Amino acid sequence: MLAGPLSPHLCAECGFPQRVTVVDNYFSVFDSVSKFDPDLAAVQKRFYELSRALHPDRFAKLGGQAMQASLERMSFLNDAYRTLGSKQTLRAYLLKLEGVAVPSDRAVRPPLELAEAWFDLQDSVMENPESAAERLDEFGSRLSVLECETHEGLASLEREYNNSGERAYLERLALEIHSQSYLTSMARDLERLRGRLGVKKVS
Amino acid sequence: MTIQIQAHLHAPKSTDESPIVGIDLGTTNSLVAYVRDGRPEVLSSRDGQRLIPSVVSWVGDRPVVGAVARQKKVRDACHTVFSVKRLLGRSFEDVRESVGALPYRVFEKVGESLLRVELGDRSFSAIEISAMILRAVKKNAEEALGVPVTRAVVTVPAYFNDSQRQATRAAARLAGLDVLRIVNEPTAASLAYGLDRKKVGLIAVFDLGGGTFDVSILRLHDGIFEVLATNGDTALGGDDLDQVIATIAADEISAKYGISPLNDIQLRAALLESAEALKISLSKDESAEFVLEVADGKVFSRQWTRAEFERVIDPVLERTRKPCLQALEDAGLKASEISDVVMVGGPTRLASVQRVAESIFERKPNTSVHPDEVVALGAAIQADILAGNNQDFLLLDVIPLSLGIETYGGIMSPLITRNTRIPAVARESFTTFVDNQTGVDLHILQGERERVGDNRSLARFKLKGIRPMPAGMPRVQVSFLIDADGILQVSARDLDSGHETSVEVRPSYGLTDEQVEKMLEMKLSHESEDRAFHRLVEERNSAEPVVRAVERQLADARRLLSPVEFEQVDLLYRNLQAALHGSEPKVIREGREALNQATTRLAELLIQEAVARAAERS
Repeated sequence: MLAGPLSPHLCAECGFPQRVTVVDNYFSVFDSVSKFDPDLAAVQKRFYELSRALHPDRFAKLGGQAMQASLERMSFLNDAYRTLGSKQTLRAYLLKLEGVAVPSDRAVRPPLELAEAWFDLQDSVMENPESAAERLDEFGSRLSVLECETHEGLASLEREYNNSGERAYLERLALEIHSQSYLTSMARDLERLRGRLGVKKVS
Repeated sequence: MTIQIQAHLHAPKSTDESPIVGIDLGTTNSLVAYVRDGRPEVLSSRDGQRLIPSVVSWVGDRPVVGAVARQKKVRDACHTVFSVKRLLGRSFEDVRESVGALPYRVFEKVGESLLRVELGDRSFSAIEISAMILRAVKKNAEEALGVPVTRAVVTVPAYFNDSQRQATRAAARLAGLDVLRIVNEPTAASLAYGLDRKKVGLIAVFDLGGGTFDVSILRLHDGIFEVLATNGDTALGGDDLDQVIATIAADEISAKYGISPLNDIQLRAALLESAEALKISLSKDESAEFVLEVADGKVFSRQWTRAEFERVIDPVLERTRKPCLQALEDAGLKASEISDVVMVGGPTRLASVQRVAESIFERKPNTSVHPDEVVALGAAIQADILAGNNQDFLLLDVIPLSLGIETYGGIMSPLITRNTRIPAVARESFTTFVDNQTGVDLHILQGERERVGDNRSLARFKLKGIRPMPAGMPRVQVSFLIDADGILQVSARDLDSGHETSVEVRPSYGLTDEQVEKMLEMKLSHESEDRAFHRLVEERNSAEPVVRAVERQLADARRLLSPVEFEQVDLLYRNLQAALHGSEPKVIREGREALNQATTRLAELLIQEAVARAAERS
């Protein structure tokens, strides 16, 4: 049995897939509510159902406009399925959908204290390579703790939004969304530094 | 690159009821399959062959394909091309390292991006050679089905890039085939694997072919075959195993005889042939002999054990590990979550290949599917789906490599990342840098690397017809659409006027559509000629051994037959000899049949004599 009607996707008269319009969004195509933790099992089930009906393979015989419409709608569906499938892409999409401006990631800098600690670390491991492993590990665990905290912070904002639907939570989320990205890039730089020094993780 | 600006993608085909076949265009062999009464089956040629060797040879200035050509691989090495799939859609730079080992010469024509294969005083592109193979495949299908075949689903390695896919499609067009879909080989294999089982689960398809390696991770769910990730190496296959043995043998031969078999084209071809034979023997037996006639009377032979063979090929097989692990990672899965590992491709018959797969996926691989035929069978199932006959199955595939554009500073900026489900679309806005600029150059890339030069250049194109305005004012939106074949289509729109902007494309390593059309026109006029010639070569090939056999027995015939009988045999023998110099296939066939008939009594007498002699001795 179908989880939802096909009419928003397939024209009842001509049987062609409907063109993608402004009313379509990545949640609505799966009959899902726009929030942070969509029921992914239900989304997958619906994705399979719709794919069966809309995939270009179903229109190979018709070709022409039907095929074009199918390519367009199926591309949209694929993009929607992928976006909802990952926390990060879903977060960015939902903010955009709700019209919440996200500051550019270039404008976001790590807190001064952390940045200084990072520069100190680079200097000190160059000067005292023998104790480098330990110091790198120390900084690494500091990053992990921060990452954990940020992650929990973002997740709680998402929960609050899901419960209340209040825009204020989205706006706070938008401001903090990049704290994760500098932590990730710092963790990557740390790995690079480890590689350059030829130091393995102790723990 | 196929550029269609908001146009129809395929001409309407609703009335066409002609069969759609599935073709596996392989590095070593090609096959064609078709679904009859819901079951896919491999179509055999008239002489019962299911595999058509992907080999093209020349008789005079005419191409011959398949088993006939394969026989000439050593005898006529400088006119015989094999493994051409490794060259398809690639630049000379791509293959520079591997072409040295081939008995035929590959070169780059100045001013052309396509590499060419030299054969005597002529040369062909890999697309043309592949088209010759596809033409033979098409003919096979037509003979088996008894109707013209013009539509096909053709498989390619999943890790083929856009140029290689385009080249495959161009080759099919040249062969007179309309390609309804390009399907990835491991995905096709999964369709055939999942045919009877209505299975639910996560599978890995480990596809080691003659020249390419692919791994795909799929989720099977109630007739949906969803590819989660794909990875591979388009320059890793059974050929590389032959190459390893050939290199060792070449060293041993030069040490023993002071002759390097690599310096002689014919010897090099024979060396590869012997290496392949050794590999095949060792897939069944614990030990086998490598034999090669090095020069008149000098035969090099050397005993190999399977253990020794496995030790030398192991480093090559280990190269499958990284792509598999990457595919698992991209799919977000651990090896232990995979419920079945399906083995595809001839080389997976080797125990050591199965062991490598087992060690990567931590489970015994499934060898239940026919490793040579399963891809063609899957292509036939996909053809059946496209024909509208199979509503239960659906393939959801992905793009194997990221697609992007060159941005400032020589950096590749990805627009569609690898393992994105297809069809997929990405839109990007561009503007001008100087006042009144009416065109913008774009460079399209495919690959996973950051620097432009480390990726594959697919095409450069120019957006034209932008209205003259101050710099930065125009907004041109370019849409990059990856269709269900994994092939890129580009369209562009001026966002302010809503007008479509024209896109002019120069494919980096391929043929433009016009070039294909032109070659096609030339080809069509030769088609009936080619068919007749093919028959002639076939008839010659079957008549020649008869003439040679009778030649050896003429003395016996004079001794054993009555003068009248002998005259008759002698006359027919001479007739057939003369017919062989002519070009009438019918005359050759009749001559061969008559001579066969006339010599039946001679054959009987010879056998009687041999039996009597044996009785005397005992």
